[in-house]
Amino acid sequence: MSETLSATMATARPPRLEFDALYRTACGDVYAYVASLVGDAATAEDVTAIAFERAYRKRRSFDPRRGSPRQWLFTIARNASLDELRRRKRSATPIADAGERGSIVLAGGSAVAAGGARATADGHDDPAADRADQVRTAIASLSPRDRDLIALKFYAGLSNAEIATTLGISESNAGTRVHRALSALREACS
Amino acid sequence: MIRSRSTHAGALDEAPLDPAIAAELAALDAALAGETIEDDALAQLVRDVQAQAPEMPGDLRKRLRHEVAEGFPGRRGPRRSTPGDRRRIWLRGSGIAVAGLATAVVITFVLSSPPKQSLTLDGSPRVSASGTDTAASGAPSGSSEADASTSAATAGEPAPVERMSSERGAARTTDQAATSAPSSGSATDAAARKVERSVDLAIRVKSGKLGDAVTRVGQIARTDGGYVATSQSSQETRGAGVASFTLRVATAKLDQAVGSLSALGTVIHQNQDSTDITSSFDSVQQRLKDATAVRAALLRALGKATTAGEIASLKTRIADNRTTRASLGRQLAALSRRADLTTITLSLSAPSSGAAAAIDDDGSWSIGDAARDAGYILSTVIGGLIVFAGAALPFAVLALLAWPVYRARRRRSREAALGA
Repeated sequence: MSETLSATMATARPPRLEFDALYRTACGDVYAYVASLVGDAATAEDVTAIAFERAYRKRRSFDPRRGSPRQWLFTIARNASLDELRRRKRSATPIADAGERGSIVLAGGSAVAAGGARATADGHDDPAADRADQVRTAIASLSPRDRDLIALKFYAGLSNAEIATTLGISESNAGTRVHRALSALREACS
Repeated sequence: MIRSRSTHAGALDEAPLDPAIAAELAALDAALAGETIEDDALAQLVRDVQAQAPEMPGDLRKRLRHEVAEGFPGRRGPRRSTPGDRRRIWLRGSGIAVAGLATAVVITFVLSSPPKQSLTLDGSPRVSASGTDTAASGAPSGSSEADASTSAATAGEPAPVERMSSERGAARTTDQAATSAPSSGSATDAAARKVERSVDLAIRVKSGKLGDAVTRVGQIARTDGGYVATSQSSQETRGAGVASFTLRVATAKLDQAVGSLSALGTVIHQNQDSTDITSSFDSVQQRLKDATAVRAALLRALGKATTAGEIASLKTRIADNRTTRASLGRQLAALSRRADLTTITLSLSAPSSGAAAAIDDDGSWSIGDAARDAGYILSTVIGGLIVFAGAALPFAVLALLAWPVYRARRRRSREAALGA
């Protein structure tokens, strides 16, 4: 979570949603979260654009009493991602096939091609790349629900209370689920 | 210790988190915030996972930045609205609303306004009275009228017709009596012509004044030897009512009678027919003269008769002649009465007190009428809206009840996508 984002969250909630500021602080995180859910770059770009457009259309209905702008935005992004997954399910398009539509560029500069093949910048293996591979494989091995929780926690940077609001569950339930997903991730990485 | 804020998620949600779990989650939050934590493995995992965050492509970031700044102009839905846009949208919406309201008002007015020419009376309980006034002196029997009609019909005379019509006081009179007289060289003077007249009259009286009008009609009819042949009236509880009459008035006083009747209210319909029965009258009159001359001849012959057979034969013919002259005399009298008395078919109507406000008295449309119409339309529209609201209320309640169900189903459907 960037310092700018933290500063934005720390300040008092404005009476009206500052959409430009919200976009600037959250666009990369939204993309990361969406990409981790839908699994391919092209779809992630579309869904990210749809999510921001929906948020822009609904910006007047944002109610600060019901949550932070960031939590509100990620709820919209999550719904857009789930709608895309539902659409895929209806059209019987396997996620693996959809993943072939493009590669997701990771923050470290490596790229995940279709099928999960790895390529470093200089073409040589190194321990960091191996570790990244291991983490990536561990994340991919999680169940979709756990992967959703990990993404909400690690990419969206939501607190347990915000995750609870997004999922429509209680905060202690959200904490339990997050811990369960974290344990699964740690186990997969070990 | 973290406790649940929610009370609706069940007993499990109410249970506090295990302290060890809560501590690990707190450590996770600290690591995500960039703080140093004791659990090095968790700190490393956080760094590694964050390093795996997919990076937003630069072109997407640039494109979205542009679309956010422009209010997503290339996508469906309105772009970011400026104050001018909002003003135009507001004006456009207001115009559409006003136009829709005006259209609704006009349609409502057209559909709900009572017809001008025929008064619609509501279905409230009625008090009816009907009767036939035959007490007037000199009222002819129906049989004699029938005989006269039959006689006139069998005479085969041409029936010159004079007709005068008037709608709502706008007089449209066509007097064909003089020009329609037979031009067959008859020596009958125009002044002596026998013309049968009939008048249809419809008059609207003020609400609640029908009883007075009915009384006044009887007085007008009985002037100068006229009478009320038939009458029927019905009155309602809100001052509305209708009455119909068949009047027989002296033809010589017809104009005066029609004028008096017209003064009872607003004439909404008037029609007058005239039929020249001079030929029939002259024919019957001539046949009566002939029969009288025959009687005189028979009487003279009877005075000269010497045998019993001649006397008996002449007496029989004189008796037949008497019968013929009596019949001709009745026909002549009936024709004379048809010419001397005019039939007026009169209809009186009084609107209800509510409808009376919507109907003008003199046919013109004044500002007061406009205000009354506006009030009438407004009340009608409001009534319609109330009816609509009443009809829509059950559906609105159903929709209100179904909305949470729909939301829950949609949420479950979305969550199910994660299980795919």
